[in-house]
Amino acid sequence: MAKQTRDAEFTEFVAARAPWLRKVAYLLCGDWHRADDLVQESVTKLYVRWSRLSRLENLDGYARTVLVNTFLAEQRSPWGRWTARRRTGAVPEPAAAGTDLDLSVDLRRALAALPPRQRATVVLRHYCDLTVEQTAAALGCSTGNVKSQTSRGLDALRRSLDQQDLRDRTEHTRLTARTDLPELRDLRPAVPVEGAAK
Amino acid sequence: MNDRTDLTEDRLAAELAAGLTALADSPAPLGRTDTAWAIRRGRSRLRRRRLGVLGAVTAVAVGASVLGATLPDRDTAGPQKAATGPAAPDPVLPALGPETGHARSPSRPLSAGCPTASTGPATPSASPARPPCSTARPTALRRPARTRWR
Repeated sequence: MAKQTRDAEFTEFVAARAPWLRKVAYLLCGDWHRADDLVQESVTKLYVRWSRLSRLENLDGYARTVLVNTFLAEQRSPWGRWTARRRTGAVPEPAAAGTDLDLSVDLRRALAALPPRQRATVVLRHYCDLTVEQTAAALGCSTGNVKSQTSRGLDALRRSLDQQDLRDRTEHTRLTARTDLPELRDLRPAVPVEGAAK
Repeated sequence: MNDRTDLTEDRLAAELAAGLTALADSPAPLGRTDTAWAIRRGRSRLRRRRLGVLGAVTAVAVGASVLGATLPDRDTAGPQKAATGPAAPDPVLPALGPETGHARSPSRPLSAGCPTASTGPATPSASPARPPCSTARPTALRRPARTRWR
């Protein structure tokens, strides 16, 4: 009877929290299918300790910590390193229609270029909205470490996004400058640029 | 300068938070999280963990019992001297004491047992076959006399 009650509580918790955990996992690993695997593994780990966890106040925080630790442990394993190396050259999946495609792809590329620990720090600080102390508790490190990892991660993101922006602008300039091609002539802006007639 | 940097950092952080939220909220394939499978897997992990603990305890208990059976018993195989006590004399070694003549008192000089070195008459308990002690070195070990050459 107690076991059935425990399982019912666990099922209810997972049904309520799995979508949120899946989003965090997606931001960490950048792939929905891997995110599903991460969530499944985290949920299994949660069940193993569920009898002791039901007394815990911040169950969401515990689940998030388990998820992040599972992700980091997977990254450290030889299999994780091998798959990460294979994934480096892969083009990310296109975002669904209706979203800002360029921004999503750029951000995903920039996030994927970060080391796993910096990525986890950035996601926990800026998506989960945790303080430095909470992030340090979730990652099991010092607050100074969290600050330095966040700063480095933001620097790397800024550089990556700036480079991407510069590349896009260069591409756009190259396309608009080649007016001799008839198919590209239509891509030029219809509205005259201010000051161009002078 | 510092304020401008902070503003840039804040702006970047706000943009990053918005971008991350948009990225996480983007349409995704259907989730594959299976709670029943997680429960089954968790139960099997728990069972395996319990079995491991039980096996470790059993191994320790078996090892302890085997060791206890192999090693000799401390009460029966211990040294006999400690069991019999100081009252029983050792039959092999001669007894020490002033009446046997084997005792060495601190006031007695080292050459006291030697009949030749002693000034008084030899004690009757000294063995006659024992060679006399000599303070002189053997001939082979003696340093040759220095010869003067003229």
